[in-house]
Amino acid sequence: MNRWKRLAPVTAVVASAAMVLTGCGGSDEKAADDSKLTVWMMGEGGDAQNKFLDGVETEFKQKHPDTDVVVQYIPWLEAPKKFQAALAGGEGPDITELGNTETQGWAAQEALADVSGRMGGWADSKDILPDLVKNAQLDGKQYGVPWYAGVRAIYYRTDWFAEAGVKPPTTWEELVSVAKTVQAKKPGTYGIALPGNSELPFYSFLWGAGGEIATNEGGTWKSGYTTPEAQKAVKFWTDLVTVHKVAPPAAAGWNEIDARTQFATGKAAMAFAGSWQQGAIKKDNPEIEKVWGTFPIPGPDGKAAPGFAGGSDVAVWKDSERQDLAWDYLTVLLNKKNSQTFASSLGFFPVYQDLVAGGTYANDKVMASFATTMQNTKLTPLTPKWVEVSRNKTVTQAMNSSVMKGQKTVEKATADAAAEMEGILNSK
Amino acid sequence: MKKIALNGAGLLVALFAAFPVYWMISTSLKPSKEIFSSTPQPVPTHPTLAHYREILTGNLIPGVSFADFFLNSALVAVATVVLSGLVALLAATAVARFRFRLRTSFLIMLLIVQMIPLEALVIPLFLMIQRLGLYNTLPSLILTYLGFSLPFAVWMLRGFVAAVPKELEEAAAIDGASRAQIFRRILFPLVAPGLVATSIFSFITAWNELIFALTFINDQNRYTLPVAMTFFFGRDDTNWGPVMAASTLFTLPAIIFFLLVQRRMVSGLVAGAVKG
Amino acid sequence: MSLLTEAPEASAARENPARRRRRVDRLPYLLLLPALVIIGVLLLWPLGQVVTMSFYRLNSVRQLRGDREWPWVGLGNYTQILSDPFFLTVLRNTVLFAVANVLLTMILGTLVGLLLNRLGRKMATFVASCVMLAWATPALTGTIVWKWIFDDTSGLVTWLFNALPDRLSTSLFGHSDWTGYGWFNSPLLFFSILTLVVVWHSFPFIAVSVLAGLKSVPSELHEAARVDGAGPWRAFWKITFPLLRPVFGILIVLSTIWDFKVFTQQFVLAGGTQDRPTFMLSIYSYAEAFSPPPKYGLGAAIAVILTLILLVVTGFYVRMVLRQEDES
Repeated sequence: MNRWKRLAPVTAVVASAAMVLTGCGGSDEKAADDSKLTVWMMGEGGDAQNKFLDGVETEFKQKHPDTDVVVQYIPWLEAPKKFQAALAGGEGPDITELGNTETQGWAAQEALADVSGRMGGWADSKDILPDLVKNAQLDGKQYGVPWYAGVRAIYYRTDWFAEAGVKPPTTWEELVSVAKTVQAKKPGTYGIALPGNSELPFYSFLWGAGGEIATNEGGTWKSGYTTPEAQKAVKFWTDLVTVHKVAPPAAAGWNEIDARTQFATGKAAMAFAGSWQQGAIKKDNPEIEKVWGTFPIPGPDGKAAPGFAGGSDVAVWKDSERQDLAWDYLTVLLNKKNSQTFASSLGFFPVYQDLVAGGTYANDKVMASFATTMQNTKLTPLTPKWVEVSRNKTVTQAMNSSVMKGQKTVEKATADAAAEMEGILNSK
Repeated sequence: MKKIALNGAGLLVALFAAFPVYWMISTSLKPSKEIFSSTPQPVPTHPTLAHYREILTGNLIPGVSFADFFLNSALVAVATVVLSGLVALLAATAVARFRFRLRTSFLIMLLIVQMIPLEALVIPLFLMIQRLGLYNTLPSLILTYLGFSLPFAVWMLRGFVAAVPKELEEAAAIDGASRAQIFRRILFPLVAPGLVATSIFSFITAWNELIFALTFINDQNRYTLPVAMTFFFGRDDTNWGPVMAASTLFTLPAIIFFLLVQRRMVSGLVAGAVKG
Repeated sequence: MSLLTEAPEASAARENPARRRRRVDRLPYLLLLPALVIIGVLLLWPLGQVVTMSFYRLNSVRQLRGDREWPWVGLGNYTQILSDPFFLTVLRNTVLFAVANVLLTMILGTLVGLLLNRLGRKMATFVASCVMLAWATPALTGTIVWKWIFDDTSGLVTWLFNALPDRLSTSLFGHSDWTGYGWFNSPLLFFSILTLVVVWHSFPFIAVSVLAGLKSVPSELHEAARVDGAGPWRAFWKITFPLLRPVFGILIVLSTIWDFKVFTQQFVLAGGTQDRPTFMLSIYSYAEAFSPPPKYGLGAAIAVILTLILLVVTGFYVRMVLRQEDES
């Protein structure tokens, strides 16, 4: 039956060709009816997510029995294009998930509804980690609500570390010496799988050294990359490849997935990865669970470095004609119970302070290190222009890669990056 | 001696051309552990259909299976091929059989429109599709791919039309056949093989296209295969095994289509290029 | 003269060609009409839109919907692009890549075409079938496979280089351990691999077309050349090439058009629009227009520049084709 329905469009093409010829078009007739709420989710979903969302729908339907929830899945890679199309065509969702680094950009494109007022009237919101809340704001208005988040730490092989007689490092110096020792002990592997083409793990080193990405001084953005602290971080990060050689030259082009795969497949003793990547690592190598551990990314001097809390926000679509319904759905999806369930199923953290600090994580051999960093997060610059620096021009990634590839010195690379970043952030 | 050298060169060419396809299939049959080994095996030592099972059973994304994507792609591709063949045949007949004033201009235009970077047309076409009420329908893609494939289809097909001996038509006309009859009974059957050959290009266009498919279709039940392929490249996940299995399934129809029509194509290309 | 070209009743009046010619036959225009409408509506009109967009500053999706003003900037987008030193890099990448790829594709394609013509029937069928495989593989999957072949740890190429005797590898490249080698790190290497992928995808079309052309060359001509004692090199330039000149002409035009616009292969190989040093015009246009924050006006202007460059580059050949058509 279904198959035949799908054939109907084919016959319609003849009609459509006729429409082109006559130059007449269909009109968009759209009645604001509440029978259907469209939700966009990123990625391919999966059975666990599907089941979870079914549960959320059941809960939501207790209040709105006549509304069906339709979930559409959007590939991460192409999400921006879908958003633009939806925005241009006025055919978007009612409510959507989006990467929390993108919320400001889409708010600036007027894609998302201002939910400041609704947020104020929602009790649970008081417990959400403040940095995450701030990250979903533009000009003081709230455009998204944090859903789940996670930070990066370093995964390591407990068996290899034991064999080499080393312990998880707590300073930069130790990190290098441990990497060298294990690499020497295990020929054919790397000390550390370093994602040279990713920015977020690097920021932990930048912040750990006391550097800043960029600061807003009286309305003008100033990049912190030319400071000695930042240069120290860049030097350390790139030296891992060029001087200490505990990661291969290819690392200059690796993203976090590449680096993680190295670790999962037994080619690296350590890797930077998020807590949510446990599943993927186990999928590549189910055995590894027995021999892995994690430790927080060290700062230069013994304190754990701050990290960026990446994850997803949920936002109400500005063009939606069912924003009240959408908000009701959001508060069900994001209530503490559901939040905890879903974040755990993904290996992320719920965004509620009390849940993150709770005892469940402290005793988990993998999650404990992440939970530590979750309470010590920092943000990338709060401006919609940031996405251009980060995603489009990949300023930081290019800076680090160019040093690793030997194309630029640290001084030249940081100066170039700072200039480019300031140019973008301060452009009109 | 010379023959050995020639055959050797032939084998080298065959190897270069076919190897990636072989490697794709071979990788898709290896268990994950073997895929990530640093000493690749030329043939899978423990062949497994696990990656295919993973793709084919169950849903790629909730509610939609690989077969659904496949069917969508097939519908779009077949409709594009048929429509573009039909329209191209008419135009090719005009260009190959008639001398008229705008003929050369038309041919030049066929070349020029191929210079347009298609990715740049996403926005204008998107807005048009929307105004036509075709947003989120497969016909939006059929129409778009029809436009993209037509110039080259006409260009190729005119050679096939030109290659049909005119004497046959003359004979039919003497027997009193009308123009429509000549077209239907003489020209069409003789050009049909060429039509099939030309359809390859339309098929490739429709089968491969990603960007428009992604932009014009909102409803995941109507995603095409290339869009489905992008789901394998997640925010933090790429699984080479399933990717290779999906790639194989995606490539197979194109290969079968090619091998079926290849002989026809060769004869048509010569006519197209030489006789103009 | 085909009868389809004449109205049937006119064939009776054949003895009076002058009268017949004066009649304007509407049939060819009718036959062309559907194609013209489709090309006009789906290609030319949107192209017009792109040109229009290139004169405005369009940085918000809302503008596309008509919710916001379109600020006219005249040639502003063009001057911004052309004055950006990055444009020179992109242009250089595009032109060098296209020239290299057209040349390599043509040479390899022609050689394979010549080879196929000389091979025995069974061997020729086998080789041609393999060549077809490369052609039939969709750009998307073909590139994914090549990327996999060049994977820095489990890739076949990495393994091959590792298998070289250490001494040889060290003396040639300065190191013997290739695991983790960054195959896509330097723009030159990246473009070499991209060239490999694109040539692999496109040489079959050239080979098959050349083969088809060769089959149409009367074999007596070659016999004659051989009797005259001409070597294969001379025979090619003296006989084959002149006869196939029109084929080569059109193949070069098409290859140039395609290689200037390479998009999918680069997009997949570079993993999106991240690797700016390797940008070429089409991916540059795409990245400017669609990577958030969108800049549709700039993207449109780059697309127009690309189209204009192609028009100029192929203009010479197009005129040649035009002349040929007039003569025939």
